[in-house]
This record gives sequence, C-alpha cells and structure tokens, in this order.
Amino acid sequence: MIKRLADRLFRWFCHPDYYDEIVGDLEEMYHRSIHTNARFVQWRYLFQVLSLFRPGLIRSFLQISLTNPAIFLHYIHISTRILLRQKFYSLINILGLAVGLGVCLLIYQYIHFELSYDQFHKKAENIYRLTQTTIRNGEQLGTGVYTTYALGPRSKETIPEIKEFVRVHPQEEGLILINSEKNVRHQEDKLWYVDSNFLLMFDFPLKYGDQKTILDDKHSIVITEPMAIKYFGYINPVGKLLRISGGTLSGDFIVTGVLNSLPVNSHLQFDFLLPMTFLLEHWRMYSEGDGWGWDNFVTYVTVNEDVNLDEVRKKFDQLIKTYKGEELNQTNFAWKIDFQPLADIHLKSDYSRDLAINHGDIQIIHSFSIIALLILLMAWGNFINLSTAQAIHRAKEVGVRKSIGALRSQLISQFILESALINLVAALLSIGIAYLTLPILNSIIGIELTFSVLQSFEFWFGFAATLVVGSILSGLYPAFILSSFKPVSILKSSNITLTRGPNLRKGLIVFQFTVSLLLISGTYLIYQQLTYMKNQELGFDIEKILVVNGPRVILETSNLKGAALASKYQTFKTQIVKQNSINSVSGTSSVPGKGYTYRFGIRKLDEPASIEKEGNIVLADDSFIDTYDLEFLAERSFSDEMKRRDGVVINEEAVKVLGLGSPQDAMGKALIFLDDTLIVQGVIKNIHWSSLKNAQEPTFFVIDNLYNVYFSFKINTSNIPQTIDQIKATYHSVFPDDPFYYFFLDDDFNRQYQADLQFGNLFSAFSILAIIIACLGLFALVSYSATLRIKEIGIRKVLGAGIGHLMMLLSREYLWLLLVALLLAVPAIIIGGRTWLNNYAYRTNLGIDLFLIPGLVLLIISLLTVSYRTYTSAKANPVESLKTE
Amino acid sequence: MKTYPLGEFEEIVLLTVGVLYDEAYGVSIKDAIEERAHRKVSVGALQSALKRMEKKGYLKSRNGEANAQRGGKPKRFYTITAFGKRALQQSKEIRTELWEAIPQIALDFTYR
Repeated sequence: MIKRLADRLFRWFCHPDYYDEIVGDLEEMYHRSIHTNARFVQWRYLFQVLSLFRPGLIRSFLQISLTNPAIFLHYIHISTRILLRQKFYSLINILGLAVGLGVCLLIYQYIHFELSYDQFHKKAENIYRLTQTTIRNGEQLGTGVYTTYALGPRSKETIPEIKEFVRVHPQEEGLILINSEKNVRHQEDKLWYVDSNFLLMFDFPLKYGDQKTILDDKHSIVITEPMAIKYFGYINPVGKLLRISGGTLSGDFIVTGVLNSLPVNSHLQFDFLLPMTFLLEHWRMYSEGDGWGWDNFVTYVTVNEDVNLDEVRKKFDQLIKTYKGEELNQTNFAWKIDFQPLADIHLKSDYSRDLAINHGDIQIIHSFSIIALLILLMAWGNFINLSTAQAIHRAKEVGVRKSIGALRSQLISQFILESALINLVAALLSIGIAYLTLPILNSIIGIELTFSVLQSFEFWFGFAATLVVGSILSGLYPAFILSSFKPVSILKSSNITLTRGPNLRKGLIVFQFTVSLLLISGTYLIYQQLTYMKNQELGFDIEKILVVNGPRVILETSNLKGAALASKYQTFKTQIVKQNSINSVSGTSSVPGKGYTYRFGIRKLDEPASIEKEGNIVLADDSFIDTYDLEFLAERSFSDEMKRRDGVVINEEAVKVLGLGSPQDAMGKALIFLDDTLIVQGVIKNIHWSSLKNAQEPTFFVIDNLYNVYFSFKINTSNIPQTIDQIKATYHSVFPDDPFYYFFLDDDFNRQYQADLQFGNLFSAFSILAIIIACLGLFALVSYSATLRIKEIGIRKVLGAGIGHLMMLLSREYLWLLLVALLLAVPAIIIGGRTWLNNYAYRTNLGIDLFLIPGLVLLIISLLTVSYRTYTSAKANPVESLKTE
Repeated sequence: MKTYPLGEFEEIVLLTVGVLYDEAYGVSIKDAIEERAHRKVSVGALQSALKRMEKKGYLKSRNGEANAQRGGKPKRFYTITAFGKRALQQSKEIRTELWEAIPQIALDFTYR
C-alpha cells in the first residue's frame, strides 16, 4: 500500500530519463530486504522516494521556463510592442484597471480605518462595555449603555472574573469653563466624570502629568491638548486653575494632566475628564438607594482572557437579583446585563443614547466592500472584453508561433504573462490615483485619513495576491481564445472571424451595466430619502428659530433660587420680545435635534406601576407652544395656571400609548412620573423632535420656567445679523458672566442626517467611477466593432443608408444589453432598497422612477459614449473603406 | 592550472565507482560506500551526485541487463572518464601537498 503510493508519487515527479534506473535500484533494495521486516521496508521505500525529490532528479514542471531569460524578455518585448501599437486600447485597458484598483484601494483604506476603532488600547481584547436590557413581563423594552452607579463596584466585589471597572458619566448640558487668569470662558459639553483608573484602562497618552495619581484628587481635571491650547495657550498648564461654572457642579479645579489629541479612531471622544468622586459628592441623588436608583453611568470592565462570559452573565443576573430584585419585582421589571466587546462598539451598536456620537455601521462597511469587489470585477471584465476583442490582431502571431512549434500551453502562459504585465502597470498607476484622490474621500467623510495601509506588510501581501489572481482571472480567457486558433485557417485567409467570445463579451457588458444601474439607483434612493426627510413637515416652523444657550454662571454667581431666578429669566424674555424682529422666546431643557432630557416610566394616576410606559420628557416654559407654533388638538383655557409646575402638554403618541382615549378625553387627566403628579393641560399634534429615522415616541412637555438650557427665539428673518446683535446685547446685559453661543435650529437639526449624507456622497462618487469604467469599456468595444464593420458600413452607405440609420445600427445591440441589465437590476434594487429603507421610520416610496431615472441616465451616458464613435464611422467616406481588397 | 570542482561526497562516490570498476550501479555503489566508508547514504543524495557528475563529465553510463528482482528495469552502470580520473588525481594531490605542508610539530601529539 505505502509502496504503491510511493511508486505513484515517484512516477509523478521523477525526471523520465532517470525513472527506469532509479526505480530499478529501489526495487532491488526493496526485494533484498522484504523478508526481514515488510512494514519497515515499505516505510523506508517511501522515505527513499521522498529523498529523491531534489532539483537534479525531478522533472520540469513548467512548460516554459521563466528562469530562461531569453524567452521571458522576448514575451515582454512583444507585449510592449503590442501595447504601444494599439495606444488607444492599451490606454483604456490600463486606465480602466487602474481606476478600478484605485477605488478598491481607497475603499480598503476606509474600511481599514473603520475597523481600526479602539484597537489601540493595550487591553482592547479584554475590555467590555456593559449593556442593560430592560424587560417587563418577559417583553424586552429596550437596551442601552447606561447602567447604575453601583453596578461597577458591586460586580467587582462579587464577581471574581471582573478585574477592573471604569464608569463614565457624560455631562450633556453645557457647563462654563473659565480661566480667570487670561479671562477665557467658553461653554463646554464634552466633560466626562470618570473613575480615577480611566487612564489605566484606556491608553490615551499623556503629554503632561502623572498617570497614576492624575484623577485622585476631587478637584483635579484632565484636559486634552486642543483644550489646553484653547484655555492656556502653548504652555504646560499642569497646576493651573480652571473654574467650572454650572450650578451644583461648580468648583475650582487644578489641571493635573494634558492628553495628546485623542485618536480619531476612538469611540471615546471627550475634552475634559473630571473625577467621579466630585460628581457623587455634588449630585447626591445619585447615591440614592445605594447607587441603584439612577442609570446614567456607562460602565466598562476588564475581564480575564479565558473568561466564560455565559458564566459571568449568570453571576450578573444574581447580582441584580440581590441588590435590585425586590424593587424590580414590584413593577414586574427585570434587568439583564450583557457584554459588548470594545471592538464592536463603533460598528456594531446603535443605541439611541450613547457616548459615541459618530457611529460607524457594519452595514456600510459591508456594502462598500461589495462595491469595491464589483468595481474590481468590472475593471477586469473590461480587460477581458478588450483583450478578446483585440484577439484578432494577434491571430497571425499565434498562427506563426504555432506553425514553428509553440505549444498551446506556451501560448497561454505568454498571454497570461502579458496580462500580468498590464495588471502590474495598472496597479502602480492605481496607487498614484488613490493617493491623489484620498483628499476627495477625506472631504466627503470629514476625517483626515492617511494611506497608513501602505506601511503594512499584510496590505502588500494582499495587493500582490490580488494582482496575481487578477492577472490570471483576466488573462485566462483571452489566452484560451487566442491559443485556440488553428494555424492553417489563420494563415490561409485574410478574413478572420471570432467564432467564440461575443456571448461572454455581451455578458460582461450586461454585468457592467447592471452594476452601474445598481449604484445609480442606490445613489438616487439615498438622496431621495434625504430630501424626503428634509422636506417633511416637522410640525413646527424650523426655519425661523434661532437657539441661544441658556446661562450657567448666573445659576451660582448671584446665588439665585426659585422666584428670584425666575424673575431674572423673565426680565430677559420681556426685554427680548420688545425687539421688533423677535416674535417670541422660550426657555427649554432641550431643542429638536438635541434629544430628550429625561426618559422615565409614566402611568395614569389610577394605574399600578407595573404597567407604566416609557416616555420622553422635555421641560419647557409657558411660551414654548407659541414660539414653536405647535398645533393643539385639545387645550384648556389656561393662562397662569399653565405656569404651574404640575402642568404637562403631551403629544398624540402619548395619548395613544397611555390609552387616554381621544385628545379631548385626555385633558385634565393626572399622570404620574417619578413621584410627581402632572395634569394634562393640552394635547399637541405629533412633531418630529428628532431625525425622521426614528418613529414617534410618547413625549411629555413638562411646564417648568426654571430649566432654561436653551432659549429658542422665533425671529423675523429679514435682518438676521442685526437680530443676533440685539439678542447678544440683551443677553450680556442680563447675564454678564455667561458666554454667548447661538445656532440656527434647522442647521443643527439637519446635522442628524450628516451620516446619511456622507453615505450618499460616497455612494455617488463610487457610482460615477463605476460608470466611467463601464463607459471606457463600452467606448472601446464600440470603436472596435465599428472598425470590424467598416466595409459593411461602406456598402450600406453606397446603397443609400443615412447617418442616423447607421448610427442606430451600430448602437442597437448595446441598447438591448442595457435593457437586459435593467431587468436584472430591478429585483436587486427592490430588495436592497427595501432593506435599507427599513432603517427609517419615515421613508419614501420605492417608485417606478427608481428604475426609470437610473436607466435613462445610463442610456444617455452610454449613447453619448458610443455616439462619437458611431458618428465618425457612419460619416466616413465609403470610398476610403471600400477601395482596398 | 585548470581546477576540477569536486565535493567531498562526490569524491567518495567517484572513488567507489572506481573501486567497483565494471560493477558500479546504484545499489552496489550505495552498499560499497556504506560498507567501506561507514556512512549512511540516501538514495536521493547518491542519485543526484551521480547525475551531477555525469553532467560534469566525470562519469559515463551505460544500460545493463534487466532482471525480475528489479521489476524488469535495467541496471545503469557507471564508469569513470579520463576527466573524472584527473579530478580525482587533482584532489589527491591537493591533499598530499597539504599533508606535507603541515609542520611536524603541529601533529606531534603524545598520547597519554
């Protein structure tokens, strides 16, 4: 058995000249000792065979020897000559490939960047973010990243697998930071209160400061480099004083460290780090119920490498049961803690409230990978198309080569080598193209990417592998076609017709058209959806609203409380509306596009807590409805009554979710949230408080005159700069110590669509490139078929055919291909479009225009592409083409 | 002076082919080397040395008789060429010269 195998192996690799002799020797030795120990002898036989596998004794495995420089150089020589002879086709061939490869490089760099998020932390593999899923009566209500303040420490105490924990509490409402030495003051909202080991778990390099003790002191603050420059200029600010002004969180802080600018590929993006101990001391309500009351903390944990997460999950269940179980049980609630690997946060999570603002999306990564692949295939398809069409010019060469003894395999390797050569030139060009177009990509995605992949070994390996695969893929078919010519028939007649190939060529064109159509419709759909979302009635007049940040310093400096503070606000509002250009002003805790202030369980007064619903809460003053021009479905005649804190205006959705009946029925009903009882004072039509990606949610506008994070002004849009100046002057006179910031609500609101816009822009850029590649190929093919049919055109012309008729004749077959492509693309567009639109609560319809318009665009572009060539061919003087032969 | 490249193992093989004179073929060469030079020889190493030296012109070969023991395959007998002989001579001369050039004292070991 072993011997048979060894024999067969040997026969396969042995040089035929030596086979008889060596196999004879082996046999002789085998038979000599077979009687002693058969098994051993068989194995020895195999090893002897293996020992014979060496350069001097094996046969040659290559038909042509690439190590033979003469033939190699000869091939290169011929290839270069042919490339130079057919400059136009070569250019299109190489350019098409180069553009295709260049696009792939760009996409690769982009994807590489997106995948690199959060990988720079040394412990990245072992860091998890805890997520909390709320369940009621077995039904999942939602999952979020916010957990309670006690979860981190309790889990470290009771679960041995948890090694470290870090809690992050973002300060979302802006605070004023002041460097009184230089009188610099700004409002900041990227302040995070973190546990003191934050910088031990996450590796953000320090520019100044001592890592170990950096957040130990309650009054220490760590700032990032840009902030250091903003507040202190280009000096080392460690030890300097920074005052924070903002109600209970005010205080004087000593700068203990400066971090280098944060890497872009980090989901953690902050400007200031403050000690958690400070927050807990100054916001005592967080410690209510031993820290299990408020879930405002994002918890990160590190675990051992060999941890069994299922086990730990169970331990967390137990933990929640121990500390929170009784309370949750009363309301039929349950909490489930889960782990999210650090690497998944950027691309694989989409929670409505999250620390990371710039969410990546694994779907986008997937679709761009597919686009890259399709574009690359298109470019190779182009190459195959052109090379097979060109084959006719090589027929004589093939005939001669064959008649002087070239083997078919030699011809095939020659043409594959040629395709490798073209691929190589294109590859070098593509790096240049990618390098030059990277800034364009950067301006679209708004991130400064560099070509970091060029430095990685894996990239070059992959690039080389792609080239090899590409050369073989794109070279194999033309090589087979070319080498299949029969020398006798080629050399005998001057007319050579390609009997094979047209179907493949047509197939490839259909493929290119289909891909182009998909990309154009994709682009069209994305923009259509964006326009749809932007044009949708939001339920309020967004264009006329200007938003100014509410005062913060005033909250502490004048030590105002209750009525006094209210009167201060009232002064501001009264003074402001005196201006002609300002119709109305309102102070609220949030504005559309900035999210909701709170999210709480809400129920009717007479219902048990176990069936409460989740609702969003915004605090607004009494002029809110007027300023935003909200439409009432039902309202109570109230004036002063509404200024009372127990009033709430709810939206239609809330009426529906809470089961309050008709809007009129809902009036005057009492609702309970937290420990407050609120009386429904009005029902408004649903408005879009956030992006139209999100469905309507029950929203409660609680009347509160003291929670003025933002002032919204309904302004007269005739003279905006003057209006802003007026507001600024009044603002500074009433709140002298607060910096003034303003924005237009529509700008800010539309910023929510930035990611979609980026996606659309990238998509359109790629579809343009795909169309260019498709057109290059189409153009070359039409030119080619026009030259083939030059005599036919001449004859037709002589017989009286018109130019239009001839042009139609030449372009007709491509129009058919376009139609086929359209039929193929339609199902893909429908399925893909539906899937994508499902991400949006409010979506445009998939209309017939989604197929017609891209089809029309492609039709026009391809007609323009071919028309130049068909026109010149049709216009040519028939005498020129017919006089020879 | 013309030099004849000859490796150590090649030299042994070449000498053995000489020793066996008319009976030098794969198996007999292998046996002889193993017996006389007390070293294990792999078929691969031996065959590639033989082919290499044939290419260099130190050896020539002819086909011999086939027999059943060999699965019906003929033996291939090797004989030294004049060229091969010169290579061997040169190698021997170099060694002799080197031996003679060693000063007596360098080899003057006493065994205790």
